Amino acid sequence: MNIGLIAMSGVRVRTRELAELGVTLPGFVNRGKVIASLPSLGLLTVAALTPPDIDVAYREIGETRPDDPLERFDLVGISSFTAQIDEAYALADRYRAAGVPVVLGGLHVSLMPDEAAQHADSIVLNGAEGAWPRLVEDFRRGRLKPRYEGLRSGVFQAPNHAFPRFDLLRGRPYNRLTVQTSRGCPMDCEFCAASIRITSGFQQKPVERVVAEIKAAMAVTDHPFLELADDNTFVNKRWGKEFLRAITPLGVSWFTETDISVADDDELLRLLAESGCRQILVGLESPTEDGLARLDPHDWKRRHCARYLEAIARIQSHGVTVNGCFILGLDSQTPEVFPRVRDFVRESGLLEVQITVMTPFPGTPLYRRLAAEGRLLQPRYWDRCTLFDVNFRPKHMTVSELESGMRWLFGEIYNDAECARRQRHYMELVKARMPRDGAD
Amino acid sequence: MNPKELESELRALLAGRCRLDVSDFDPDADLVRELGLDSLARLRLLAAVEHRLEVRFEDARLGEIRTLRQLAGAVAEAIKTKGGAS
Repeated sequence: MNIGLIAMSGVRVRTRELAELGVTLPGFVNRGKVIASLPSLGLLTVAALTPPDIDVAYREIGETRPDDPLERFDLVGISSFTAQIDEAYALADRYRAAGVPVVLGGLHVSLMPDEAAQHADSIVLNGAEGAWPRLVEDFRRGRLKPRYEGLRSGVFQAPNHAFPRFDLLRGRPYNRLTVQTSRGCPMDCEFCAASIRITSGFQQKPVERVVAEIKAAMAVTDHPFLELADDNTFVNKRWGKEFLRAITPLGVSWFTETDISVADDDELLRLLAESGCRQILVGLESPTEDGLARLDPHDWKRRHCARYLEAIARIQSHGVTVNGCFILGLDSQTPEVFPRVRDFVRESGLLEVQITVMTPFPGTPLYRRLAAEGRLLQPRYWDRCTLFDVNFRPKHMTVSELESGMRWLFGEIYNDAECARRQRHYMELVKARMPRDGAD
Repeated sequence: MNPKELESELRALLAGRCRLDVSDFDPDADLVRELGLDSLARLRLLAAVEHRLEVRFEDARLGEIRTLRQLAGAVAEAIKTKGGAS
């Protein structure tokens, strides 16, 4: 028996003016390319949960056309993001029409199960842990059920979890690989469409398990740059320090997402730098306190906003760069937000900046609220869930003001001169920490 | 420093950073693509070269320096600019 696991991913902007602008702005397209080029850790985990007597093929598809020939499998598993879910459904429909059973999974499927079930013989909700082995055994016996629920807790406990099959990536031209250390995030931001939606509470892997996975990832490619597939790695500072001490001897360079509170702990910052952490991505969301009101249930981000500049400087002074993320179109923002973000970026010395538009992903609290308030522009807009296309009516500006303000801000932040200025700032930070011979 | 010494110095710095033998590395090959350096590692290499050779590249050229030959050219230009300024 052979199973084909197909990852469909890619970042594409639908709004024409923005798509055209993106082509000309290197800083804007770079991160999109990075995200699109990451392997699907979810499907590599599914492969690992598959009994060893079954052949597994891992495939990545950027875009499909209806006349593309179908590769033959006994069973197909497809995972996709919301923006490309319709193409995933179309591919699933083609396989099913050809007599090949299809299983759909992933975040969107977990949040929109009834929709996904129309295009699949079976769907997997939450993660594959606790679901996929049962599904495969049922399939072998010809008793595939229409729906399987993966675990929402205890995900990383034996025997639920399996090492992702990094070996399936051997020979492919990746220079970035992903390893997951945690699922969930205590912030619980209204807009978040990440792993918090498929997990109960914050869950973290034992350090020794993460180290073993990193070693496995390092075995399949030379000098990989690791991207931790976490939403907030350093929630638990004690775990964080243990983790950093454990990976320092591995000599890897890596990136992760966390919150601004890492700046409060000098020991953690020192360990971060020593462990090879090159960049942390932090959801700053908005440059002013009023812009952050009621974003998360505890107003955590609003309460920390006044310290953003100082915290960024402290983190970057350790040689770890900050990729600052801002969301445009938040309910408390007015058109004043665009120049404010530009000014903040210039003042902060952030090496990289990620600007996105607030996106009501289906199944999130934000989606439910905006739907209840009648502010969604269309009832179904999944292919526009790109983080760059506007799908809702902003509270204190028009749709047109939000779109044009975002284009203006992109031009201000991602042009060659601004990118060079941020690169220079980073180089000076690096040089300030260098001994005379230029060694790291 | 003559061009040969400069290239040798740059190769030594590069080797130290990517932990590879780069003595035969093609001077026109893309550092990021061929040596597996990420974009931040490329900037750290440029910072190391500036620091070691006491030069400063033009900010506008930072994104253009992607090969050893371009790096050597940028260093030569920076030395010339520095000499002219002093």
